[in-house]
Amino acid sequence: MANDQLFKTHYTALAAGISGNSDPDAVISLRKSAIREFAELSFPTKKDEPWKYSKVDGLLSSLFSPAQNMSAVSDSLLSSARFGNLETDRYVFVDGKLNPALTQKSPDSSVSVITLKEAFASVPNFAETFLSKSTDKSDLFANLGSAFLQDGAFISIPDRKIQTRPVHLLFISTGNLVQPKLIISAGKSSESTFIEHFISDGNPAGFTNVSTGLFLAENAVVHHTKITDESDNGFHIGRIEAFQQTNSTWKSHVITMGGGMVRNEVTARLSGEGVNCLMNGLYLVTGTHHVENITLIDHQKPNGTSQESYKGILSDKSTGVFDGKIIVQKDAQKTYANQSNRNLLLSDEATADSKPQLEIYADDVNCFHGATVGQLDEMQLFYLQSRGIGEPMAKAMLTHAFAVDVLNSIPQTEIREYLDQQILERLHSPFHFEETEV
Amino acid sequence: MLSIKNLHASIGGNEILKGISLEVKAGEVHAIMGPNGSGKSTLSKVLAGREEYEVTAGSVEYLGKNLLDFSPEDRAREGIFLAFQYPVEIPGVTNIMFLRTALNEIRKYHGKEPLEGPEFLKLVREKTKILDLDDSLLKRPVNEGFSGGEKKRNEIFQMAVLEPKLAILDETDSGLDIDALRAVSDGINKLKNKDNGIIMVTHYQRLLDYIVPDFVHVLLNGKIVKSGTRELALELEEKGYDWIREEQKEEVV
Repeated sequence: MANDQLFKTHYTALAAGISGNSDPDAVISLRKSAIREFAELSFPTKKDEPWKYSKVDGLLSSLFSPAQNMSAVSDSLLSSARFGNLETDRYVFVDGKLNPALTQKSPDSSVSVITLKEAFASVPNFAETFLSKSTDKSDLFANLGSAFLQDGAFISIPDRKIQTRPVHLLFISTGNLVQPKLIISAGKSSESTFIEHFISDGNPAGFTNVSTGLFLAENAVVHHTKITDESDNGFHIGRIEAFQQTNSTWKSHVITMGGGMVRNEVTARLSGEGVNCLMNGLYLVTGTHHVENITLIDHQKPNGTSQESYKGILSDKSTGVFDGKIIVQKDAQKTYANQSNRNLLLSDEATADSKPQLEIYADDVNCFHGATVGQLDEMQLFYLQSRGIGEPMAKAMLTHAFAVDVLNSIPQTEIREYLDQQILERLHSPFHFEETEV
Repeated sequence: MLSIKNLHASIGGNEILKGISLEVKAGEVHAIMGPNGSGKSTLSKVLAGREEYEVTAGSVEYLGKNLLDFSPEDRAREGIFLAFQYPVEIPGVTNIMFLRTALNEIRKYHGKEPLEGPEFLKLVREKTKILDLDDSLLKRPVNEGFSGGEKKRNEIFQMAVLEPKLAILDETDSGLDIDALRAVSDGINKLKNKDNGIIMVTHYQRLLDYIVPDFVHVLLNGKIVKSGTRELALELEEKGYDWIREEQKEEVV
């Protein structure tokens, strides 16, 4: 496969040329070993299981390079990415690099956000404790990210701190190779909310390849919402992996609204007892775009619960994929796991592929899964029309209704409303979400 | 206000309505009765514009316009309201959102400004009061998890808010216990006035104890075979439909 070689040559050459002389030795050696792994691995094909329905091969014909300089960002772009009047601690990453000049945070914030370089200098055993653990060495794109390891942030919240103000991590792509690495460490009995938010400046072609590792200590609660809304001409591959200690709760929402080709890989490792995991996703796909969601919930210890609901809304000639696996390991007795994937096709030419899987090695468990692909319900549509609601409006209401329960578990009303409005805009809806307080 | 002439309609090639004629004037209450399968519900759905039914012959004139030319939403905007026999559950859409959208779509059609939140709420509260409904119903998703009685009351509540000119009540009494039946009929009676027409489609005459019709029509095998006053309903209650079937046979012979 000639393209495959070209792809590898392009990125290995770029990675080898990174001017990172001032970087710590640990980073340099991580990058080197990742380049080696990257060069050895083959580009995934449809024969490789979790890539069966993937359209990642578009990356073979579009090669990208890292940004040379940090671009300026307009105020209008920044303000368009706000969630109504919600106050957040905001950190802006331009092409993956934190721009401290754009940071807005409350002085009494208990969350610390530092660059990876700073983390190497100040966090003991940073590489071993966090970086290596959250990097899948068998994955081509994880290695690609590590081969360029430089950008991103280490975010930590101390034990027992309750951070009510959400942390808004805003990633703005100007159309380059963007490969940030995020590490989030939530201390014991802490509670915090993070929003990873990916947008583009304009509509450039670009490739975002992001990796997030979340470490939830005992009894920590983390609300984590990822919003992908990048350029229609762009590629986005995101890996999120959470490591959950005893009694911790992770509530993950992965909302994909824009992007030419988007692949979300979301993994939860329930490595302590009594862990709760909520994994919700919504993918709204239009045009000829493609979104794939690959999820894994790994129940390793007893008394864990996981609740997963991914919903796809596919219009035009778009394609959507859900490939979700739940593993219940031998020790994970009394596990409760419920997985569902529902897809709504708004056009005859849209396609949804769904592959829910359960692998159960324990005998005392309660597990369910299900998947559906369907269209808007004729009777519901007629009912709305029979009350005077026009067909486009009725369709928009039902589509919105289909999506909304995935968002209901996001605690901030402002974020839910922001997403609601965005969804309706994408659907070219005449219907506007306006809650009437009763 | 409504003039149905020789209406024929079929579904999937099966003719269900075989020549119905009916005149409804403003202020009148008509009851359409008939055994199961006689075409009562089909008539309701055809009037509301359900597309799966094909009108093969006849005409329906409503307020001087050809009703069959209108989409379901335009029929509603012109003042036709169908209270469904089986109200549809719509998870994810609250009753209040649904009603506000519907009312404002109807207002827009008539060139009126939309009602803002507080105004709308005021209107809705007046209506819940008339029908003695609990406000909590407003926040719930449309019909989801409602009991049979709640669903039927919700239909009448929608009717109260949308103020139709012609209401078609399709088996609104079915599945109701006596208290719910009383509540629903009280509501309908309060909404009845000299300007609107009501067509009640029903299997039993028990609803007619509460809402007194001006005319009763018997629908049999896709045709109105007998029309009369309230006494006809009482006769049907007593003797069933067989005697009418017999009458029909004799006429044919």
